[in-house]
Amino acid sequence: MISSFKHFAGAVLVAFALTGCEQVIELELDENQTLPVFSFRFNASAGQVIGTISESVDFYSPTAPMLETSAAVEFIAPDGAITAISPLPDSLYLGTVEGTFNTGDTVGLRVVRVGQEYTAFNAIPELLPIDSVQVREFEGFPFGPPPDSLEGPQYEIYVYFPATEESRNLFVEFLVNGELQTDVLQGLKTTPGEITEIPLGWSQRLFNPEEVVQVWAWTLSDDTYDYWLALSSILGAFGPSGVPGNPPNHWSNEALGHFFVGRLATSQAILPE
Amino acid sequence: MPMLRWLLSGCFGLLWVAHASGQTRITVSGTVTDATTGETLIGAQVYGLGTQSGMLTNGYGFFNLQVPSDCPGVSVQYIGYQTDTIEVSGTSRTGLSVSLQPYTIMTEAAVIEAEGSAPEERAEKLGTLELRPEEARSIPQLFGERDVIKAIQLMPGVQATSDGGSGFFVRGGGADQNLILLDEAPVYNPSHLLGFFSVFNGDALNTAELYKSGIPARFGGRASSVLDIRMKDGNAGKTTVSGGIGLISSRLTIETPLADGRGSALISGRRTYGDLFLNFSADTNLQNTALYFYDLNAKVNYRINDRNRLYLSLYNGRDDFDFAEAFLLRWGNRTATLRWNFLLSDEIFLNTSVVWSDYAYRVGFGPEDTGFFRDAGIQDVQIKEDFTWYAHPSHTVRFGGQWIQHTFSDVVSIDSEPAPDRAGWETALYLEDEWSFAPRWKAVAGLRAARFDLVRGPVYALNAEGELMGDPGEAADAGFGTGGLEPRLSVQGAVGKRHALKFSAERNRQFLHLVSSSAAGNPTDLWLPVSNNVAPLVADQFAGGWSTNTEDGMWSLSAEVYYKRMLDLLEFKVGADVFAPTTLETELVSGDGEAYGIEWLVRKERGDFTGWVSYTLSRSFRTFDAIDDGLVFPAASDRIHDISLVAMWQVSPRVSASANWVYHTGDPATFPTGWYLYETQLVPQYSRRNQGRFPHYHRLDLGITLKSKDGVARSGGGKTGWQAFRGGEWTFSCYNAYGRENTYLINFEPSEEDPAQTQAVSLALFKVIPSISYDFKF
Repeated sequence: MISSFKHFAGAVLVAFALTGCEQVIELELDENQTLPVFSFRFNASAGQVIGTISESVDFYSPTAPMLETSAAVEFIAPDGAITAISPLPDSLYLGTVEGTFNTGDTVGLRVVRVGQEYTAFNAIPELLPIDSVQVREFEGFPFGPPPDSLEGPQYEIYVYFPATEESRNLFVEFLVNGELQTDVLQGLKTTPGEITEIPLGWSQRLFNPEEVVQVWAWTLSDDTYDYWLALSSILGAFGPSGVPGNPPNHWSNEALGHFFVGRLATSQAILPE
Repeated sequence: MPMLRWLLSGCFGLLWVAHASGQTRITVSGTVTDATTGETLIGAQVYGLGTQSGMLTNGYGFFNLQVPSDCPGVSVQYIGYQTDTIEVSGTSRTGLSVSLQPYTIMTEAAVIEAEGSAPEERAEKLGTLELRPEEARSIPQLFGERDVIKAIQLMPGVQATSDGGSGFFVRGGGADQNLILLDEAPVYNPSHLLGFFSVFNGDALNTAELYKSGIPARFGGRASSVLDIRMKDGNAGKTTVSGGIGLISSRLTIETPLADGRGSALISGRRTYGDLFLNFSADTNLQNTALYFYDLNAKVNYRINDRNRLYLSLYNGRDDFDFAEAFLLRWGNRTATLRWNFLLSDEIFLNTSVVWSDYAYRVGFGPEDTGFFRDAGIQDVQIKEDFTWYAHPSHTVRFGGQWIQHTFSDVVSIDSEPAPDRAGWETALYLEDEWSFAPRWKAVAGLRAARFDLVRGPVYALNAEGELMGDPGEAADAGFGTGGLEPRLSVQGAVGKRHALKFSAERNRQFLHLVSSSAAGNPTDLWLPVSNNVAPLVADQFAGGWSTNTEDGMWSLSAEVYYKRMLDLLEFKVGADVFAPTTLETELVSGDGEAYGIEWLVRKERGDFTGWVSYTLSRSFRTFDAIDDGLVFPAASDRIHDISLVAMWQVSPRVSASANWVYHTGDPATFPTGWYLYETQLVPQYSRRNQGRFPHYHRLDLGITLKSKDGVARSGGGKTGWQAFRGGEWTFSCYNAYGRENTYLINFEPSEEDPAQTQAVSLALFKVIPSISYDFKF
């Protein structure tokens, strides 16, 4: 009897071992289409343009993307006035544009790189200001895994925005002790007529005593909001999700990246001891 | 004008002469059943001896044939049964009950006698696939199950959506473009255990017929195909018990006569039991895990009199994966069909059906009272009337209508205001004439008028960018509706003694879309009704086919070509918010599709060694303005080459063996080709949609069936009880016999040898899967 059972168990184990496995495969791919990447932001509240130019690299044998400063970059104001944006040595492009930028105005960016011109336009949104920033002591998650136990209190931070008649596109970033936190992308459309409350880091981020937290709340144009939404889906909280693809391209020729246009509101919280 | 008047007069005169001076005709009608079980025989061939008149029994085994009064008799035949001849002596014979005796052993003579297979009958079959569950039993399949859907996937023009999956593509269409009916009730998700099993228990089924083209006007609502599955009625002769015990699941079927043979009943159940072993695990999480599925089929029918018959069919199936109250995935289909067959007169057959179906799922995390859950589904209530009027020897007219109320629900537990249900009415009227316009040729011309009205639930206004504007309206106030005409035409007939031809053209309209964020599909995909923002899918298909056989009927060959155009397909836009938008309508984009191909089927019909080879060469493309700037890309169903080889060998009266080998071109996929830095994020760069391919897929399955000596002897004996149980058959099968690691998904991971390099790692679901099962019947 025991012998028969052993034979049976062995057969089941062998059968299990024969099922499912992983192996490295070679994919038949076209040559990687290297594309330029234009990553520019325009803060209409301050008239500031900042950005970088680089190139995409091979997925399977990647090298570090190198920043380029040889391209000519120009800002196109609503009235057509052109302002050159100059590069800092071996790094980013930075410039300030004079003028008044009204809600609904269209601004553009032109990049000439390796003899090819790329242009993108975007509309300036209306600013949604920050009403208040509140610090609360963390009381625990309603469900899911318990937090790591640490000595001393931890805090959550909530940012409040006033109710508006129309929906606005919000994108919230924050710095902790001067360091930009990049692991969470927070964007949403506000609900008309309702106050908006956003927990920094979507309640998955806790803050420690005496930390200095700066909140950057961008009100985005519709195009920029759509781009960041697509990007967040591609990146995914747990890896890429959904149907794979590149975010919408609004450049006049094929390129990656986006001409980000928004208005910035800032606030700060210093956490208690 | 005088010429025209003369021409018209001549035509009418010819018609009058044809009708008046022809021989007197008589009517022979009735139902065809299995003599031992009383089971109706669907698609039995009925033809007048020495005449050109013939037909197939309908979905209830009914026939009505008009033959010349001097016809000596009407022959009734069905594969696997002895032919019966009805004598006619110049007078009509109606209300007949024709019982055919099955052959207990399929001798060569029996098959030759049963086949017949005149070319005009084969012409009717072009564009369709017919499968009986006993044929599926001969084909080795995953885990030893005998599944009609898996068997159909071995035929030309039909492809499985994924390895081991129960979803299927037909001629380049999507998996949601197939109307799957179980005794007229729609089944919205035909998959158990993520598709490794279908919901159709072969022991409960009578026939399965798939229309790939030439879809009759009485069917509608899906763009690509109709899979019409009929349950058995139940043995009206005696009580029988049959079943099977396997490694993964077991099943039991009981059939019994009712009311002294005026009716019968069937109940059939199937359940997996792998989760029962989890209770023995030392891990408490595994002890608290549920992982199973079950099916329950039931049917009762009762013959009130020669003109009235009632049927009640029920189905309940469910899948449950509940991991220790941390993750839950549960779904199920339920259907109920009440049908009344009524012979209004000797020439008019009426079927009235009331149908209810429900598909629902629950997915979520955490304890059921405090966790995050999504409950969604679709429920149908339907009434349909189908008339068949055998108006004339050359004309069979079908007409009728149906009304369906679809109710869509989608509730997320954390929503403060759960989304209200939406409901819509789908109505249709149809008219079709089957006209035998020449000897051995006929045309089937039909017109279906279909409409969908949203009658309850929110209606959303979107701007040109697809963004929500303002508060939703109410469907009852907004009055949204859409519809149109769907012409259907086919011409088919025989050329010479052996050749059959068929041409068809049709339009099909689909008012429900299945939105899925993955190519493989999963039970949490959502059915979405058309609305002011979502147009119906319209598909036009043109197809032509030819078939022939050798003079002795041993071999048959068929070839079919098709072209299909699809308008207003739906896809999620790149970066779609698939989880919590106010409405999915803001996340969808529409586009068009095109598919074309040629299908070959060579079949050995008879002998100890039978089988077939099917080869499909096809392409399927999509174009969406919002995807890749409107450039054409391959559809998920674009498998250029698709080959199936199926072989069955009756080694001896006790032993039979089978094998099938399948191959198809790797599925299209969108692979990452680069990385780029956008601000602080390292982002994967992708190729254009579906420019890459998975590795080619191929697999060999083997099977051997061994009947016990008792089982072979039992055909002449009358053993019961334990001896009858012992007289069953053992089946040993091996899925993926040479262990091909067919890619199910691809992960991109750092190389172990050089972490700076990224490699593509293929994950295969199955390697070699042996199985053993024992089937019994008494």
